[in-house]
Amino acid sequence: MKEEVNLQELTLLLSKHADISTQDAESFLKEFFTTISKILLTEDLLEIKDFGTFSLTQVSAKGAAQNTEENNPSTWLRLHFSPAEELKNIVNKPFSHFESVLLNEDVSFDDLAKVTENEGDKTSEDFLIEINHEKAPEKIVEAAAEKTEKLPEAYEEKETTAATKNEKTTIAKAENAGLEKHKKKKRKPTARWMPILGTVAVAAVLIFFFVSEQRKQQALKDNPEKVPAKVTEAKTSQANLTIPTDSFQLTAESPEENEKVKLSAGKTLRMIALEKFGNREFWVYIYYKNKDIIKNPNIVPEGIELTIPNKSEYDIDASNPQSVTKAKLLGEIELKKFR
Amino acid sequence: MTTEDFVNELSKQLSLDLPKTSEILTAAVNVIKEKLSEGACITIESFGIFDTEKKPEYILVKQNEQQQFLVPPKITVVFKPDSAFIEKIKKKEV
Repeated sequence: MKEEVNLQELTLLLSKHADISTQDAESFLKEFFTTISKILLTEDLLEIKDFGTFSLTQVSAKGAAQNTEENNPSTWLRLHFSPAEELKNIVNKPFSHFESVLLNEDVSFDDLAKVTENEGDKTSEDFLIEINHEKAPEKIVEAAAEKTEKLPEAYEEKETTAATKNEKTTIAKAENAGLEKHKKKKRKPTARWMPILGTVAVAAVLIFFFVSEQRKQQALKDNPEKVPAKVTEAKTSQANLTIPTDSFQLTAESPEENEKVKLSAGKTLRMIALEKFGNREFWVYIYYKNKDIIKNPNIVPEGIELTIPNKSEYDIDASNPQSVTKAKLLGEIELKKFR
Repeated sequence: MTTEDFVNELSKQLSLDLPKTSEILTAAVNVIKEKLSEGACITIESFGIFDTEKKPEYILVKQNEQQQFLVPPKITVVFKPDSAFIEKIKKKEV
């Protein structure tokens, strides 16, 4: 239910807004509307800023508004109010975020009114079709949707509608026939080819990936050494960061022959490491290499034959502090296990 | 007639100075706008009714370009003049 506001309520609101007495507000509003009425009896146009424009247009029996026609018994004046842009925007705020949308050819809304755009023919009903940014004037051909509300101006339109009814139905029929034809017409070739092109593109991408995958596999078969090398490299680089003890066992295998040393009396793993690698901390790598025969690195039996690992196997470099630190840490970890 | 002429006319009739008339006119217009934006219907006796109406969405067919547009619904302001006012205007010489 719509709220109805009369002059008294407007008066109260105005007195609040303008901070004036109710009497002043009332007399102002009365004078406001009286002056508008008076002016429109003498002038044909009245523009009130931010509110709207009242205009008088001549209407002939045919229903077309004419401003230039001379005195004619079948013409009369019609009052029209067109709201100012600001007022339009405020009132249309709930729908302000909507925009006209271009529809695809195969989309149809049976329950919506269809309006066909025609050029050079502006009727008295033009207020029904106000499309933003549409250049040409339009004409309603098929008003399937009920007219929202009957305006008091209908007294004029009743006569004009009768006069234009025949004309409209003729145009409507002609245009309906045009639309039917248009529907029967072949669909645009681009629209038909779109899904086919899409499928072809997807298939091409799949084939590309399949072929490149096969090439990779072929390359692996042809060059098997390259890959393990890469894997080992990756593992050692990881070992440098996290120092997991097990990773060294994986890389410990080497095709090269290792030197063998017999542990004589009074010698320790540290002493051998110092002798062979230049730093005592590398003992841990000797232990790793001989883990199967050394049960406890603290107690190495005399006369045991130890395999000395190659420097490259464990990245042994006495001149590199990082290598020494790493070996030291590994040694501590191993010794902890036997405490 | 422009807004300035209208303000002049009002100030004469109300014996108010121009700035004050202009100020109250702005306030009056704002009050009407506010009420209309709330969806109210403003009835002024012997003058007419300011109302809002919703125009439903429709399909605009552009035959020249063979395109269809879905035009969104719209709320617009309509003025329905009072019958007495219409009669007065009708009597006005064309």
